[in-house]
Amino acid sequence: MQLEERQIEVEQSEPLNDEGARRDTMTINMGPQHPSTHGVLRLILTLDGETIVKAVPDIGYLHTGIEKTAEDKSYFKALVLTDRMDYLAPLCNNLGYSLAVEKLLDLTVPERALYARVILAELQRLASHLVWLGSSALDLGAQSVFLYCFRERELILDIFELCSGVRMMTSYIMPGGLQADLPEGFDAQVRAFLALFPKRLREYHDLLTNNRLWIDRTKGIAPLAAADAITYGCSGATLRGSGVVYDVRKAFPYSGYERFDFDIPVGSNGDVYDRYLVRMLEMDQSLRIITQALDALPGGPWQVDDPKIVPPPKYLISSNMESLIHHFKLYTEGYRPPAGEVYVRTESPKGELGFYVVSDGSARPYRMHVRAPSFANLQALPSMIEGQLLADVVAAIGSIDIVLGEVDR
Amino acid sequence: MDATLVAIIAAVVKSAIVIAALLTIFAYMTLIERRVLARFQRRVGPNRAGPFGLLQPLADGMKMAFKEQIIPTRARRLVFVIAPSISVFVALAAFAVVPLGSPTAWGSSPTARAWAPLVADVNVGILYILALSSLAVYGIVLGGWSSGNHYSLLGALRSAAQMVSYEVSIGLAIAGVLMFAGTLSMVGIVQAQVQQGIWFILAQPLGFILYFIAATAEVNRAPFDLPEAEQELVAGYLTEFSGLRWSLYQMSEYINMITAASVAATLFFGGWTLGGLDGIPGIPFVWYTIKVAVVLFVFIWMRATLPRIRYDQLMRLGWQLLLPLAVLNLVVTAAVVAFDVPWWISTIFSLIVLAIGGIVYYVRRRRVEPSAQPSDEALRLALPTSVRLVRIDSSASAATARQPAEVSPN
Repeated sequence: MQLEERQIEVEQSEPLNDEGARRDTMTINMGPQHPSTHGVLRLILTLDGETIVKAVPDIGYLHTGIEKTAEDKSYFKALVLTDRMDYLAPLCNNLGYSLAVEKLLDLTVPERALYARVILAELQRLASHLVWLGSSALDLGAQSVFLYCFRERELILDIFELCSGVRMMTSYIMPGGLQADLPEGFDAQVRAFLALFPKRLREYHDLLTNNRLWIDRTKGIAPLAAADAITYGCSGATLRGSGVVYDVRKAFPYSGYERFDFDIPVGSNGDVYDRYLVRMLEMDQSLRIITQALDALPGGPWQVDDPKIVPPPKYLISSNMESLIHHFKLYTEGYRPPAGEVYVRTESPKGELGFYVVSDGSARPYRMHVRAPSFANLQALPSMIEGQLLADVVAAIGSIDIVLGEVDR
Repeated sequence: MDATLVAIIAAVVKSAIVIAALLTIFAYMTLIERRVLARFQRRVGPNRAGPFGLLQPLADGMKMAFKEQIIPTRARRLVFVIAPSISVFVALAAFAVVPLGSPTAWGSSPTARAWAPLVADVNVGILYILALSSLAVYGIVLGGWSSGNHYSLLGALRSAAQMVSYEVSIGLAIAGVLMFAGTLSMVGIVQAQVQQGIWFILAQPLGFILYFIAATAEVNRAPFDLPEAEQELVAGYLTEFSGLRWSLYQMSEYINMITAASVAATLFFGGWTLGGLDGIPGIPFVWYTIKVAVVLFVFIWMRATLPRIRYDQLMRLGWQLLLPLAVLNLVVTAAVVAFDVPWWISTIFSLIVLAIGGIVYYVRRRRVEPSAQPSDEALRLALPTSVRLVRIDSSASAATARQPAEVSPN
């Protein structure tokens, strides 16, 4: 019922043509079950032939209530919720949340954790970009690229599995450091990946970057002017593709990003092709960061030395009374940061991921709000695709790289 | 026995054999495509049912047969039910004139000729194929329209526009071959190639390339599979079809593909002939199969590699590039045939056109696209000027940008 009402609403607001008559348009419902809306995005499209006259995104089909649920969990336990927002980049979510909580607690994590976090976050960026590349190529019909990308992504997920025992929902980065020390063989496995990946990246360039069909499908498609991108609050590659030089890692360095030497790829036309190239070049830069961080990775502790924040090691629990108490307190009650509010921004693969956490001095967040980059980027979609062809809609959706879990959170 | 009666019995039996064979080949074509595609994509493909997955088509067929055939409430029932049959009918019928061997393979008596390895040696064979493949659009348009679904309708409209456009290019692209052969009969074209001692692809490379592109579009294969572009139109005209009706459409698509490959083999690669072994029974059929298989493999290869072209670009390609080139090819071939100059003149012309095309493409690409911007050393890519790498001294920007925006704990 509600659905029909909405459609009527859309139809009644059909634009008029030059003579003032109603255009002969057709309304179609793209999603939430559609092969290329990247999850459960619903677009109500008004078409004139195959030209988009009007596009209305409708979200909320993957609403998980993560922000609200977090208010009912201790800081220590709310971490696992963040994995499920941008489920293609859980480690980056973990990082943003951990930084916010650490800022509330006024903690400084050890150097080893700092570097490990950068390595993991950049690996996660590569994994996320690989999924983006594969799925956006698949949307435009280049189906083999999809499987090649997943082949490399699997190598990254193997590294995560080595670290945390889990491929995706790792929760490996936690407030206070890491869940566990980087495992043996981590260095070798990452280096093996670093040696392999540039060749594979080159293959993707060969397949797509100068491919005439690919250029035809992406160049000049779904343009987004720099001013519009800023107005809509876009961030990440969607913003940089339009020519705005803004990367949180450079503008507001966190977790030691200021120590690494890397460049920011910036486009100028704001079309699908520029956004594509920006992300492709970002992968190079991520490799540079990982290499530097891996070379400089120090030894030492990987967590803060504070049993009130991080659980004590297992062997102490069975021999040390105090550790047992800490363990019990941490898991039943958690820690109580001082009252206050923080906003921490990080550069997730999708764009600026911000965590706004309010503490009222209790063990649970009074409010957690997530500034989700996918949500802001999605706002720009209608202005990109209106006037374009139906086939360009999938190119545009692919190019803003949204994850509906994060949009609806 | 009466020769007419023999001819009728032979025609019926051969039709039955061809239909049965095509249905089997269709089934195994799906398996081959899935396996080959899987290889391209570093997967294994279906290999569970039977050795090497050989029973997979059987399993698929049974699954399809037992599936519920949904007719949407908004569908026009009669048309919806009939439409898939139209597609399959024309696809099967078009194959009737494809020669799988010499018409005199079993001798030249009327009885032997009646049992020759082709259903019908029509003297306008190629026209017959073109006519039937034009009819194929009815199955798709009617199916899409009758579904009562917007996606289906869009798919159907795309298909109509695409097939009508590319029909013209196909006709003109093969006209060159027909001039060389001097006949419209499929058998006659093969025999002409034997007599002139060449495969017509040697005389008509441009014609072959044009035919191949246009045929790919005509049979809705990637990168021209717009009518069923799953990422855009869910499944295009197929969206509302299920069960056997859906498999009928699949069947017609694959059979059309096989027919297009057979036409390519017959017109450009000498059909069932190759060298002196043609007299041995069975060998011509092997040659024919190999040639068709190679063409079909290229179809699958393209599907694995290329992104899908957009609807308006497809139209532009058809009308603004393929059609003028086909006309040009036609005129030159006509001149070559009319003035009785050697056949390689048209080859040279074709190669010149292709070379010019290649140069124009390369130069335009250089001008429009990359202007050799040095990027990461490791990649050494020629990148478009639209994207650049920005170097930011992060310690400086950190100092200036730190203060605002952050809410400190109070």
